[in-house]
Amino acid sequence: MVKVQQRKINQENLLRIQVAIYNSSLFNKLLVMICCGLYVFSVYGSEKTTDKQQIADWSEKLTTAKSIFVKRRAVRHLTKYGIQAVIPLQKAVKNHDYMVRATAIKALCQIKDYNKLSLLSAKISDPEAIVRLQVVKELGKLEPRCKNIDKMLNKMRSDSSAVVREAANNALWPFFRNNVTIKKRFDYDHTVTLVKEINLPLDGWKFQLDNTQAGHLNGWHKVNYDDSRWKKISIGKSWEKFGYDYDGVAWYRTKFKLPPKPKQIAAELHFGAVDEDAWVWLNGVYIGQHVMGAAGWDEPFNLDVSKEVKWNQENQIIVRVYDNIYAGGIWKPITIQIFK
Amino acid sequence: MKGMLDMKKMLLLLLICASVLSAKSEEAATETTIVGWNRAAKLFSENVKVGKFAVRSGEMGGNYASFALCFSPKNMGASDAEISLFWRANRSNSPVWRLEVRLYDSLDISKGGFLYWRSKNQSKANTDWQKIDIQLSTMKSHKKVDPKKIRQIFFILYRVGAAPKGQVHKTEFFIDGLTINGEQQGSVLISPQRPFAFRRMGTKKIKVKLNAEKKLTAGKAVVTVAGKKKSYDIAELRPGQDTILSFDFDSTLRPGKYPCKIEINDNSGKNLASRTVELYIAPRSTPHKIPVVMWGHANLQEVKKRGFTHSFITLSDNKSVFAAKKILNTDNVPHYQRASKMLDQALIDDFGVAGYIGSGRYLCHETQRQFQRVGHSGEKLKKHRNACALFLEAKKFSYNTAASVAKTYGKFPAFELAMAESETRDGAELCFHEHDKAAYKAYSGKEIPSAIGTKKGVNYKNIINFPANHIINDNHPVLQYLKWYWQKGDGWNGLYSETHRGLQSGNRSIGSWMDPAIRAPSVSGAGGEVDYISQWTYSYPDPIKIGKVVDELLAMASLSSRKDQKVMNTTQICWYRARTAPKRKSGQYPNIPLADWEKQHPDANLITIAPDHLSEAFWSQISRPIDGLMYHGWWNLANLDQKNRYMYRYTNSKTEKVLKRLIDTVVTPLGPSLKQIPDISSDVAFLQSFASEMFYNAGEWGWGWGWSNDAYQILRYAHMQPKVVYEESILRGDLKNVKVLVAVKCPVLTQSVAQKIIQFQNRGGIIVGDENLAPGITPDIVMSSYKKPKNSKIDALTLRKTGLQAKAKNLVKELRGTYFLYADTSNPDVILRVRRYKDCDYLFVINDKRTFGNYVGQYKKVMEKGLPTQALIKLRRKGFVYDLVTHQPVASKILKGKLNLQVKLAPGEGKLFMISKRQISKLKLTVPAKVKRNTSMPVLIKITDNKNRAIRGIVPVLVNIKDSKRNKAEFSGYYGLRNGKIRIIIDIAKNDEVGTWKITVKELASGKITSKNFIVEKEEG
Repeated sequence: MVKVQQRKINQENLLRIQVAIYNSSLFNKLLVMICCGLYVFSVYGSEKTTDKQQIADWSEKLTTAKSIFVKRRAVRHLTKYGIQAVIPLQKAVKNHDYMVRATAIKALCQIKDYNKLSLLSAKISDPEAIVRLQVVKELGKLEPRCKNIDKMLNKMRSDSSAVVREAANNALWPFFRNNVTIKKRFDYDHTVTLVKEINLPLDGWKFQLDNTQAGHLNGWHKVNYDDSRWKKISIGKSWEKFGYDYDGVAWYRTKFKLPPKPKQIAAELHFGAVDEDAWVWLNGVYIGQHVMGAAGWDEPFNLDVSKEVKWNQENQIIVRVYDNIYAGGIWKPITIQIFK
Repeated sequence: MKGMLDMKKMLLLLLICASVLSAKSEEAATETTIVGWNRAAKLFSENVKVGKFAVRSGEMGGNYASFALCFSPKNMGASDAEISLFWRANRSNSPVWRLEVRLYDSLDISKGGFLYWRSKNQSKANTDWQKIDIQLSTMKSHKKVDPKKIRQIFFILYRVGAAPKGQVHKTEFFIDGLTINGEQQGSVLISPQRPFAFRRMGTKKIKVKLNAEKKLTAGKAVVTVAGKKKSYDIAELRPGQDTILSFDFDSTLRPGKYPCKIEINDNSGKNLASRTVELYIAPRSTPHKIPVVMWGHANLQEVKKRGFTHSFITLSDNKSVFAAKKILNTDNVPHYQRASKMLDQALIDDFGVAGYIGSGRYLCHETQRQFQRVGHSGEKLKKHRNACALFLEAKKFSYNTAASVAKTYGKFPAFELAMAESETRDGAELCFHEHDKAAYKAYSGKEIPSAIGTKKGVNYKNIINFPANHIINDNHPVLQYLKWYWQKGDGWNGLYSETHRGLQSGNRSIGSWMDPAIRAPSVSGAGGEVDYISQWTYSYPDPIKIGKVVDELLAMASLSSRKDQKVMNTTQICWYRARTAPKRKSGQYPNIPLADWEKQHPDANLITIAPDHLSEAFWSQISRPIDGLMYHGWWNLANLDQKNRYMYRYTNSKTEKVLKRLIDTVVTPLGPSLKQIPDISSDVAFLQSFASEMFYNAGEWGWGWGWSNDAYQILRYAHMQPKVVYEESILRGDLKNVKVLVAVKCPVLTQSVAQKIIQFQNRGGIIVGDENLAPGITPDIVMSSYKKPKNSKIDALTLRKTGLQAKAKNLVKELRGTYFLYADTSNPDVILRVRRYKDCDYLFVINDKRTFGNYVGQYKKVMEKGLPTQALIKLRRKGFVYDLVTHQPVASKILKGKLNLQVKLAPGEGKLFMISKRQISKLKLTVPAKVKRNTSMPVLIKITDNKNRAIRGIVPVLVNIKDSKRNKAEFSGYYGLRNGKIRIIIDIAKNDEVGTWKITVKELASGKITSKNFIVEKEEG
């Protein structure tokens, strides 16, 4: 805070000097410019010295302080200095306190051109889950995503900590689509009317639990995947009603036939409600997601499928569902809504 | 109103079928006595001897005597007809008499036409008046009687029980106060208008409607109350036209019943009609009582029996008010008769009534589609799930409805609370009427952004270029809109405020509430300006989680625009089967034997909460500074006639006993103290971020589940005492005295809030975050969310509790040396909470040690059975300890500057200790030696230490005032002595008993008792 204020004063002084140069005679201008140069040197020189001193102070606290909270504060402060504090931060990565290590990893990964992959691969086996969690988070941010990163993240999927496993699974989750329905399109400024609704079958769905959240890695979202060994289930009721007293990820697959193409401007999949999150594929194409957590358990939602739906043909829908608490599953019917 | 007049007219045409044949010889085995009009008119006034009857045993036609009142077709025209009478059989040599009242649709009962009957016995020993009430509106549908069909009311008097053949039994038979639709019948109909029951002090106006058969000029009304007669001139009474007689009733008299006789005389002094009603003066209430409300409609007497102080009556007449578009006095609707009677009776029974308003729900009805919400393109939503409460007409209507209730029922003192609305907001969706758009533009100067997902927000992953540090601008368009929507935009908060204002429009204040207030995100304004906000809370799986809900309500209330909003939380007495003991399908749970209740109620959807859960939930709530308690699930608590019980079933008989005990031993005696004891200023804050709820769906909507709830529970197991803070609380400076800020499920924050948090951290505050904390904030401690271990053979609940308690232990370990607990114990199953007033701490100790029992525990979904436990509690202070529930001092030690207290707790038990800096030594009571009637006298009670210094705290006492005849006097009851003293002013009535009165005071901390006598003398002159 003090430093920010000091910088403000310095900037104000520089502005005053510029005004003075502008207003003075040639000789005076020269004189003022020399003074100005000296001042600028002193200001920036002093700032640099102050930064160095601060870094040294915080670095010392990091190693000598008895309180872990002082150490943690020290590493947080070092983060602000970026590349200037790279050496103490690198030391901090080896500190005995897990929060210091995690914060240092976060700080180093914010430094441009720093060899993050090397750092992260070194810390992937840190004894503390919080540090490994930070590693996973940083790995997930790295771009471009290379095989090495995926390999490391895959390894973390079997971490002893559930939090780390979940973070690795999320980092490896490749599907996202910003699905905008017709009523929310900026470019479509006309009245939209729902003209027809086609019910998807309630029965005849295939169902599989996905404890390890590896379904997509095993191709469960693909059209040709053989689901003949999956259990039978109906939608319109929670999976608990079918005896699955389960919280976690599960997949639904089914096929349905549609009539010839009606006159329309848009076709949307309408989900009465999914408890809680849902990811949807239609005919092998990822359509979109409804990710609201537990708050979304009773929220209806629409996904535009105008381009993906096959009229007068058989269609295949695949839904991945995640439930965290109480009942779960596609507990309300699904329809195809036709808009004009 | 017109219908009532017609009815009266028609009653005057009562058919005279025969002359009185009552005084028959003893030999007459039975006679049917047809009561003619002249005699019938008297039946409608008081204490009329119908006649002498004699019945002979064991012979055909014996054992009974009968008589009839015959009516013309229109005299029972109301849809809500009610017949009521008192009867009595005297000088009987029969053990039991029974009166049977029959309704016929024919004047000639030999032709049949029987509709309905009701009877009541009078035992030999009992010569009191027996009451028979027939309320046609409450009959079961298959017994429903159309009042319009009734032509005859037929009375049969039976002699009940075996007797030697031929024995004659004689009696004199009396009827009193026969009323039809609340109206007494006579040549001048005298209809006193309720209320008949009043709180003591002041002058009350009594109104009486008079309606004459024939024109009457220059008559007189003579009113006799408490032995004093007063005469009023009546200029004129016109047939078919109501004349209001109004007179004063002096309610400074001592509490009790006062028969009031009204006589109407013609100008020659001849009595035309008379009627007696019983007026009642109720004692004034002692201050700071905590209401215990049964949320729902139930028999008031039964509810009171179970310890409650208030229950519901529907008072609003939405339909009429909506049609009239203005404030109405709705005392002409049939429902008024019943409601007003219940309200009077409630006051007599020392019970309060909570009125249900529900104007918002009326607007959501299918018939009110003009208020339907519309989508983006202005199209009406598919289903009329919810009304747009931003319509000005909607707000006006809500005000009018509530104001009509205040106008009609505000004069009834028992009407103390009103539920503005319940659950109406839940079905609301974003709405795009032109007035919605205009309102948002007026608020923000902007159009409604199109990237809005639902009212629950939009996941930040769907937002392009979302900041990497997850710190967003305070005026982010989506955030700004959603904040407006939840505070103002859906219209409901404004509508609740209108209802509240309407309720206050009368001449006295009626406490309003709304629930569930926090089925909404963490932003201020829920409930509008109602007096109390509440939330429906289920206790499973962990009853202490109710505490978090209350803390959320307290946070919400603290940000209310009205500043003094209070909290009155609701505990669900009902448990959903699916969450506790699922209904079985064939083959399911083969190894679990059926519990008795499951055999008895296999169809139950909602079962009774387990008693230990109820107890723990109770203590979790009362340990917070709440102003009332509510319970929902009447049929789960009371094993009564099971009609209208819907899906609720009474499956645990212990629960009602536990609740009654808690009310009797904690709420009633300690409530007046607890209501005055504030919370301590907590140094642990628990952030619930609106931005995170809207951009990450982090909200838990008051359900008390999810990681946020787990984290709160961890803090409780760690014996920290967190307070819930919203972003708005942080911005107004609520982190000032905070040492630890817990921010879980806070992945998105606004710049201003993030800045405050960083400032807090920079000045030494500790941030405990989780794995999802916004990357722009670096926490001091990461407390990762609890995840169920994989493939464990141990049940999920045991794992969860163990897991949370392990995290609590870790947290305490990390904070050691930096953060110091004020109250601590090594037993994580014992939950502590402290409130404070000046020198006194109030320590709540709750036993959370539980296991799976055999009520529902066999399904491993709820640990419902409490276990005993004990704990050594350490407090960072010194003082003298008192158990406020058992009213005795408790031994404690001071070791290393800390107060050490050993506590044993029964299953589900809670305890409340007062720790005072000064030791209670003296209880002083000062009263004047003599006092005259019709004057006031002060009573001073003081509690001091041995140096006569007052106890600087709130100390509960019981004050008993008995008159010279040992009757309990007004202002007897429980008090909370603020700063160790209280001054009570007792108003001795002019009709109070003279002689020696006694005041006894019991102080409920150390159990000291003192008493003093004083003499009440006759007033001068």
